[in-house]
Amino acid sequence: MQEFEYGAEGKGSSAMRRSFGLALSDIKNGIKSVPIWSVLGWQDIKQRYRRSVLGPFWLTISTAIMVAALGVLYANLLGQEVESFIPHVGAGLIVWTFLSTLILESAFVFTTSEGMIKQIRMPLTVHVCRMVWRNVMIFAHNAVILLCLLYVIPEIHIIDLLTIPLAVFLIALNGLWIGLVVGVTCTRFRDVSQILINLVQVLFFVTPIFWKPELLVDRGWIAEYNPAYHFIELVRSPLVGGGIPEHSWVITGLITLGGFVVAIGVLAKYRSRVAYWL
Amino acid sequence: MGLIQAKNLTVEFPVFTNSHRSLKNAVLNMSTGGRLARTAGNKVTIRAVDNLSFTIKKGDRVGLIGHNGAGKTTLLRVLAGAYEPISGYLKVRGRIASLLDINLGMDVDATGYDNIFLRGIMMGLTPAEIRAKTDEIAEFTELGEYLDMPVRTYSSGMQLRLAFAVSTSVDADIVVMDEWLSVGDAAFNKKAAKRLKGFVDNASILVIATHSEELLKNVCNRAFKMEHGQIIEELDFSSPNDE
Repeated sequence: MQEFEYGAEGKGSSAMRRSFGLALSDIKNGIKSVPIWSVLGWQDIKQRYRRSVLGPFWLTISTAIMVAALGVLYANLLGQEVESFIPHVGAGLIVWTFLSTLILESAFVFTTSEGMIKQIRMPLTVHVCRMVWRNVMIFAHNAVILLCLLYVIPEIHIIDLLTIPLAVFLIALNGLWIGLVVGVTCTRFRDVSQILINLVQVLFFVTPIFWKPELLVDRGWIAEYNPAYHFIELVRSPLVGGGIPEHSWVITGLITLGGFVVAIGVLAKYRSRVAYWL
Repeated sequence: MGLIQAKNLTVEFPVFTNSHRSLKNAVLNMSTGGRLARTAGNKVTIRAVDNLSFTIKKGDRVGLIGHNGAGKTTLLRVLAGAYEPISGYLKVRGRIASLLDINLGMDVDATGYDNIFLRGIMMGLTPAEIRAKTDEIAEFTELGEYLDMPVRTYSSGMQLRLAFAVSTSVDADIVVMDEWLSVGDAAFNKKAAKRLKGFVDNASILVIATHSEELLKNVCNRAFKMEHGQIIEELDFSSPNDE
């Protein structure tokens, strides 16, 4: 049996405490609704690639072409060895695509589910999980390229490589709080999504994807203060023989914690308003 | 097992014009107090449900009547749990089926069977529950082999049959509906009406917004007459199908 209640009088808890409790249970129940978001997320992919024979593998192919072409080009331009540069570009670009799509799709995570939100009682987190799940699966298709890169890489440390799935999980987890924070903001202020597109584009150029951080010489802070760099390093570093980047794990771990604190705050304050803003 | 209890239930809508949607104006509004402040500052809110108190018990069939814009649909959405009231108390006990938009979540490129599954998931059924109901739904729609085709190839009447069949396949304690649904040609409509009646009879509470006097007489035992978000009159019929 289902039951819900608003504005229950006196239970000894303040309104603020209650709204934080509701925010937490929104996240918890949202994540628990696996059948809903997994089916809907998968449906999104099917819908996008319907009637195409290769389906999401088109994305894999276009990423592969991009990695091969630009990898060779930039290796020559920057005077790098092609063998070591291709894995760097490949891993960087694939993780970047994952991360940036998570950010950009967060902007529309609630506006695209308007019909459901206005009719069915469901945690907001379900819609975010659907978006994250969709992108995890697209990442999985691209990850085929990462497997191919293993052939190019001279030395392989199995233990280091085992941290990669963990890194992908951490990035997906970050997609969850980003989706909640950005989603709520962009539902209220529709022009924030435009700013976001710009910011993500700038972030792409200041992130070491097509160039190596060593090029920065004494401007290392550009990479150091760039969260995207650290998230990319989690996956890239073990692949290119850089070992497990402990420093980046600490930073991204802290970002995840901080992000969820913000997300819970935003959800506590605005969760109930989102349906009205649509 | 159904119960709806409301005390001083109030819902307010912010009405955004484009300038309210803009972050720039909201920021300028914080920092300047001039002309711009007027465009961003006068936030218009509409009180769509105003201070309602009522209790709907097991067996009640409540009709919501009133002019367009009286707050009927908003109240239905609140009862369905989609809109959260800004103040007041509301308690809803029981599994809710909301038939406000039965076409919700249809993917026209997916097959009929896929859509039964999708729609079922959205209505809160588990995959196993949907699989158990699929045959019955398929049979009811009379769509036969069409169910293996993309919904895109259906006529609008066929699409409606499918949506209707899935929407009325759940076991609900509380049914929330915007006007009585009618689907299909004359022959099918009769069958659909029977199914819908069975669906509603199984539920312990029905709340329906309607303009039809006949429906009120035949189905409802109570009615709320709404105007400007308030219940201005409560009617009580000694309905023939009362318990």
